[in-house]
Amino acid sequence: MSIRKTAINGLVATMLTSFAVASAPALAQDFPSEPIRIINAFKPGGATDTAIRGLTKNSDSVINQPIVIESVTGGGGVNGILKAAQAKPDGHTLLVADTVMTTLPLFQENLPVGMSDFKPVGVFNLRGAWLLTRPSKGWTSVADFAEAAKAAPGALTVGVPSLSSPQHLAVIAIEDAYGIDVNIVPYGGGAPTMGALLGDQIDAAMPGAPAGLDSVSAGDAVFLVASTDIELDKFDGEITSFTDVGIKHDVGIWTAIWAPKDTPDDIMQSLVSIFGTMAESTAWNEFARGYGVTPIWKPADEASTYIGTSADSMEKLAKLVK
Amino acid sequence: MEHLLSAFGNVLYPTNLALLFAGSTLGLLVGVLPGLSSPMALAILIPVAFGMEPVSAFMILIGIYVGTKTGGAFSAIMMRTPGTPAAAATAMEGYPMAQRGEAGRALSLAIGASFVGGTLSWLVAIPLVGVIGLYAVRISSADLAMIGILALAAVSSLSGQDFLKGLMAAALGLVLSTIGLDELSGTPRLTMGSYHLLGGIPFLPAIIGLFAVATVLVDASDGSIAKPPKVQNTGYTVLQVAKELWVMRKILAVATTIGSLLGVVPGVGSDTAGWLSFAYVKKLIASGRLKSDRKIGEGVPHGVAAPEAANNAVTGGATIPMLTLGIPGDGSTAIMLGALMLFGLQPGPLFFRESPDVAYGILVALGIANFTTLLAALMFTRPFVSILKVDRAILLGSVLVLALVGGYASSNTGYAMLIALLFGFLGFFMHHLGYSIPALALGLILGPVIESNFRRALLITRGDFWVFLTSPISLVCIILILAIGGKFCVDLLKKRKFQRL
Amino acid sequence: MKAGLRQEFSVLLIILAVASLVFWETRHYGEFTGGQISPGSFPRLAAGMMGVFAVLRASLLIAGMARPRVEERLPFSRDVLARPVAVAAAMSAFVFLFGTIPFFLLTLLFLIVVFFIFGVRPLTRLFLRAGLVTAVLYVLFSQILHIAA
Repeated sequence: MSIRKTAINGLVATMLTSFAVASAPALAQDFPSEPIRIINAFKPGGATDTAIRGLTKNSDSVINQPIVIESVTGGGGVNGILKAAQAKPDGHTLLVADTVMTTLPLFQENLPVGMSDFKPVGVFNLRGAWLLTRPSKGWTSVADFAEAAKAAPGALTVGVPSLSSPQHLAVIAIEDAYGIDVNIVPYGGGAPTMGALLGDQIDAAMPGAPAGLDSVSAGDAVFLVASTDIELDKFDGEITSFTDVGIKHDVGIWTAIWAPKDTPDDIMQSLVSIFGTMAESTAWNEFARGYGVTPIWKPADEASTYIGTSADSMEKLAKLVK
Repeated sequence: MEHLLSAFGNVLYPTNLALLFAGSTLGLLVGVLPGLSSPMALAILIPVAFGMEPVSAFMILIGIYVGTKTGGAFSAIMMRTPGTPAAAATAMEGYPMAQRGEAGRALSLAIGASFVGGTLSWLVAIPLVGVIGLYAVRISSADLAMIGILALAAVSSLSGQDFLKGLMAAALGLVLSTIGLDELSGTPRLTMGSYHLLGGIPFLPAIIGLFAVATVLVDASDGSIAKPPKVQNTGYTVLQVAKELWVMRKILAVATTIGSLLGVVPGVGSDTAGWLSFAYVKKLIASGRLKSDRKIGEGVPHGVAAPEAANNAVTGGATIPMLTLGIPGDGSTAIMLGALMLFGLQPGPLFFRESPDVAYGILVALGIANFTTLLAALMFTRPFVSILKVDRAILLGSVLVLALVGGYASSNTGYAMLIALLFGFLGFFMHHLGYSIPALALGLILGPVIESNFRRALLITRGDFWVFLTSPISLVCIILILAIGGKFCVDLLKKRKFQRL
Repeated sequence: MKAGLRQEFSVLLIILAVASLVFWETRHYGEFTGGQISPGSFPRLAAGMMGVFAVLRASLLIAGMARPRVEERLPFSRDVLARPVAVAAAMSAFVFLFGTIPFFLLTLLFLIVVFFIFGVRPLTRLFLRAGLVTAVLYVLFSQILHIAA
């Protein structure tokens, strides 16, 4: 070989090696080696779907493999959750799910899968349920609402996106705190619930924020109370939460990413690092606030504790239902 | 007003227009293939749409949405297997027309009618943008339940050959729709312990099975399957189509109205619109008010035009509540809603005020999409008709794979594919025994809508059944249902013997 | 016409059996309680209606006010049923093997079998077409849509 060729080879080799060295960040070696699939157990376009897509929008600045969101619906979420649990625990298949993970077992027996089949990578956003009503009712606080409910037991109708959901449990919490009895009517989601409220078919609605935010801003709906301390940048006014009015329950709806329970620790670390970077990025923060959820980041063990506390309070509320 | 005009300028900008055209073409393709559906395509393309400006991204999404409504007719006419559930009614007369060598005519009519339906409903919806939303939410649960039952009764009575058999099929569809987790009480029903059934019978694979797979099975008995098909007359000019459509204008107007109205009602949508319009045409012919040299089932052109106009008219009705209230009318608009939120936009009462360029842009795109779809469809008619030169055997075999894999794709589970297969068998038996497949399909689709709204209505009034009579829409529906039933009894009494029941 | 009648009645009996099955499977649920319809009510209502319609039709048949029509019979002859059954078997195999055998291979085999059943001849044409369609479907489903392996 000529000297020139050797030199060029050497140069190329050096370049390649330095590239390799430079691009080996805190990630476990070669992870991820293929696209990361995140399974969503609910239909596309919903709150969880929007949240995870928003989070992973700019993933190409963090890892060089694409992140694909896959919708596996059915069985009230069981289908998707099960598929994720049965996937190879190599970190390339994950699950995105919110508080449904804690509420599903409360109302369903003999589930083939549950939280114990997963390890949380991290909790990345928080939203709450909020009680809304029409201006024509004349109520300005949850106390007004409770008063009206006391005067007409079982008559006031409150719409919720679905039964056995955190939103439903939040209404139960209000009932318990004020000793009232309202008629809870489930609709198939936050949007239809708001639709029913705007059409004056129900007296109040408790969807998951930020559903209905636009109606509140337009003056078509009135905010009464939120189930947890949420921050809604676009909301003009103060957010009173359960704790502010003395309701001792706190119902937060968090969304988390999960990995199958047998995922090895070093992969888990990489996942935490990857998603942590995305969750703490300005892009995500801006998006989340603009959309109306609170961006947070609680990785691994912190997430487990957080989720555990949430599960306990959900369980307590669930007992009040039957 | 200026917003509307500037939106026009925006949409008609060459790059956006090109994107809209690309979306329409893609939508046509998705519509043609039985295993693919509009929500599926939209969901897959959302990540792609991200890299663009919201208005441009929606050019593609809206293009696909409108395109699929027209594309479904292609396979319905040529293979009797609807590419999308909404086009199932088109196959009833479309396929016989193709059998007579009139595939070109049928396709042109379908394309033209789709264009008319979509554009008309859009033109009417634009000035009513603010109002439609307000009225949409006033439709109560009681109304929704009754609308669903009326649709079911109407289709049972008019499509399919025997009323009682049609009703039985519809009832079976309703029963099947209850399988799974009960939304209102959270308890599993009829699941026989299997957690697969916890999610119920997935709708898309079932439809694919009933219409696509069953058709192939039925045709398998046909000995002439491998022989070269009938020569198609492809010389059909735009002028001829326009003339034919003009003659049908009254029917098209009714069909468009049906579609627009049903589009606004959440959950009912384009599948029902197609069938109701077809039922309307059938009734006109049966009562002699529509003169045709052919009988129903032999290739009545109106039977192609009406459903196609209706299912395209749905787009206007379904998109408006999505934009003005954030309430989606069907699966596709639900995904578009999600896409809007991903862009950081909030559809609702303030949408048009806060993001006028996007809001009006989408609105305008919806209308222009009819034109781009028309163009794309016309370009594809020739090649598609020439596909018919291929052996039916090969077409059908391909349809089978498309159907089965498409069934799988709808939820990424093998269970979905099995459903497609099983419903294919069911469809085969139903076809031979004379039970109405459309009635079953509609029962399956409308079951959840009818039941949840029925129970919700009673929940709100705490058990008071009077609500069904006090709500005006509901009352009208009940009267119509009784009218249908009454007419049937009267016919029965008129002819004592050799009665078709 | 006897065979037609017999078939019609058998089908109606099956329908009644299905309706009864639904009633049996929903026996657990409570009854109507002030505003709350029990989850069993709607399935029973639908199944009940189905049964009623079946009985009505049976009565009309018996009363001679309705007759099963020739084209509404399941033809149990070998010629007519052979192909559909064969296709059904092929489809079942496809469904059960999906995922275990690579998509390309499975589809190719399936198409070859189905084309054969449908009578596509000569064999060279059959294999060619099968290969072509498989290639197109493979590109569509594996590469573009990432649905199958």
